[in-house]
Amino acid sequence: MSGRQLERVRAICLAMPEASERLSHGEPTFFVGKRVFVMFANNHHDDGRVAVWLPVPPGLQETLIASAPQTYFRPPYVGHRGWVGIELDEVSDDDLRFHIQVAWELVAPKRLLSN
Amino acid sequence: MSYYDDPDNVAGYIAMAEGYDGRELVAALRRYLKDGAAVLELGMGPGKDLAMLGEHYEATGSDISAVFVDRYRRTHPEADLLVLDARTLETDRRFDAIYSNKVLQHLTRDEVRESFQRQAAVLNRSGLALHTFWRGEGEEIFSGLLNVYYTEEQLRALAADSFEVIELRRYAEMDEDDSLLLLMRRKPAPGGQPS
Repeated sequence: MSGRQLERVRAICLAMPEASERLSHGEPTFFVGKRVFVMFANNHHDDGRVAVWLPVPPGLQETLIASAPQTYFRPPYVGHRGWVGIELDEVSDDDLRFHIQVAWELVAPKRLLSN
Repeated sequence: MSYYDDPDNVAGYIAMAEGYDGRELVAALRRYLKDGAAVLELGMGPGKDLAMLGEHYEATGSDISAVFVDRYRRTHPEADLLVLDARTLETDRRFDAIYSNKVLQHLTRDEVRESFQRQAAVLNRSGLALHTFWRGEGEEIFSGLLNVYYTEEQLRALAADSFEVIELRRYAEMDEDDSLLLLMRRKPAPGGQPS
């Protein structure tokens, strides 16, 4: 299950310009330059979720969690900075792709955004 | 079965993790601590940072979890390991430096203060401590695990009784300036007596 979800996330993330994958906190993590735009979180600290953590625009975290609490949650370490967790079993491909695209745009160097 | 119970996934982890994670932290320690010194790691987990420390130092790994310690011992029978609570550090051993990477945030602020006092007690004269924390305000419990966030001012206050801060700087682990590196030196024993 988690392997299939990782491949799903990896395919979207690595299609983004200059994206790369390394491990952080024991989880596959996707970078543009030196900055993280998506972290795969497989049952992190036994929370029972197969999820991604990623940044969203300011203020959107609360809205997403309130509107679909079965899908969106506040992750540790970066939740207080406005990032959101997304339960992969609960999110459509289109929505996942949209969130990853936005996350990449939030952290990508300006030279990439202008292309 | 967890993702990293699969040998193929573990092999992938090792390959991808090469040259990453704690290496920059060990480099920071090496600017102040000579190779060959005795270093204790708190909260060693799977032992990744411990292996990096062992490239330069006489490294001793420790964790409150005997599972982690036993697991590492099975694959590294020569390793020097202790089951140790970072709050109380109940050991007669002495070290030149103590190291932890995103471990002490799982203690309460009072427990970190207690840990710093105990660390000073098990460090040799002018011993060093290097720890990393998540930067921010407040605390939260995620999946039953406490995470406490710190500002520079809070860490300076916690360290003040037992340590002189040498380096305290922000760095990025997942997001810009989301982390703090604290490097400090043990203050002389009360009364100026060397110990």
